[in-house]
Amino acid sequence: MKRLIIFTILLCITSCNSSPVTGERPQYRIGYMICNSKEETLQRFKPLTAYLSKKLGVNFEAVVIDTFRFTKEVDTLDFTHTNSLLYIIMHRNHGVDIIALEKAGSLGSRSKGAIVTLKKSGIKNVKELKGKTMIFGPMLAPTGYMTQIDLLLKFGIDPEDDLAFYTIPSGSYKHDKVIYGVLFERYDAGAFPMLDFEKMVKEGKIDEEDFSIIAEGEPIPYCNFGVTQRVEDSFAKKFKKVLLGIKKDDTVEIDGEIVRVLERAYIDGYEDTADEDFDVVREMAKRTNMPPYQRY
Amino acid sequence: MDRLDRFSIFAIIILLMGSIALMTNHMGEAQFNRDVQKEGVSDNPIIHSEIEHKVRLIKNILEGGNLSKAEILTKELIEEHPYEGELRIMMGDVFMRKQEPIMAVLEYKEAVDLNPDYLDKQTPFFQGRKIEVAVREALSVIERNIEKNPKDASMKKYRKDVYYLQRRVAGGCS
Repeated sequence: MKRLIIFTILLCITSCNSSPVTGERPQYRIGYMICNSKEETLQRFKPLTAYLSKKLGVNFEAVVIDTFRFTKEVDTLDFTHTNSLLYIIMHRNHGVDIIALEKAGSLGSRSKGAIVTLKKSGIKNVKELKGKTMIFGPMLAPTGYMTQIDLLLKFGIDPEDDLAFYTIPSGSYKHDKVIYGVLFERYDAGAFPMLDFEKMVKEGKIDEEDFSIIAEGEPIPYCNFGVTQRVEDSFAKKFKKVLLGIKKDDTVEIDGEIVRVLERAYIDGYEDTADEDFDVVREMAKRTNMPPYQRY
Repeated sequence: MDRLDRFSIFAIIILLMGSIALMTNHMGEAQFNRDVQKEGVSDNPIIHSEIEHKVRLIKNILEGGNLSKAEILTKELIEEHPYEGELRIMMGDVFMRKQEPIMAVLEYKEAVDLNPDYLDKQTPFFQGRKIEVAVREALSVIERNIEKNPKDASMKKYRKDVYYLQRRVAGGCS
């Protein structure tokens, strides 16, 4: 009898298991705004997503979403990776909160937009753009569209009435197309995001000496991670901690290859931030009648 | 007490200590099912299945920027289903996009009164952060208006409603 009791107790002890009953790791979705193309965005952020999964012990799914579809999909996401304009839209309309700012290029966690012409065009200031042609980046690009509209309005140029013609390129790599559009003299001026301009100069694709920056916007927050309303606060804090702690040499194995997480994403790191840091973007959106403050 | 008894007592003590350790370790880990959260409108038990597809359609129209159409359709649905909190949330969303945060707060207040889960982070219906933004903006508009016209009775009435919702958002009693 005693032996039976002991056997039962031992069986109880050995059957105790501290791992979750299901054994399945929780699933989370990170929505990445498509920057240049769907493939490029996935290529950049798949390793980071795998790294976050490994560090946090959950399964993150990387979902790439077109800028204009993002607000339709945000309620199905847990974390967001977007530009600063999309963040303020989703903060106001969908309750997304900021987690961290991304650092890249000479301005770190900030970036700026500029109106650029070819030096040989002879156009030296914004007022001289009256009656000229211009090419802009995508409409929801804070440093590729909104900043330049703000600059034009500031110097008394209404793009609708005062420019001879303006356009936005279609398809992928829109920022590159804007820069080439000016370089090949298809348009008199272009709305350049300075980070992309810097990158193309660094890669030897263009020579910065050919261009003339006739107006520059103020530095505003760059791309960022946000968290949606449905994520538990404690998990969002852990996510933030891991993100802020990523170092240059941190690697992850992806498709059988060991890659440096930050290098693959063209990022220098992540930085803590607060929602108030985006007020500069909000003011710009109000001045240019952009969402989320657009009046119809 | 023979050796076997002593061994039995020892085993029971180990079992008890193990149980206590396990319970302490996993205290507070209870979480609601994330799958339920992800299902969104389609499995939202507070939305009548009859109006489910209409709700989705209006949300699409709203995100597409056609505010007047979204407003008309939402109003019609509210008339048909006055006790659906989701429709009030949607109406609040329309007002936010129309840059009318005070009106948005009044709608969100109705929604929260119909279903307090909109302010409960433990439920998949949580809308607290969005509502918080609307409350902040509404208060700022009201304060500006009262500063201009301190006797503005309608603004004072709105302020009461906004404060009420602010208390609810903060977790206070009504």
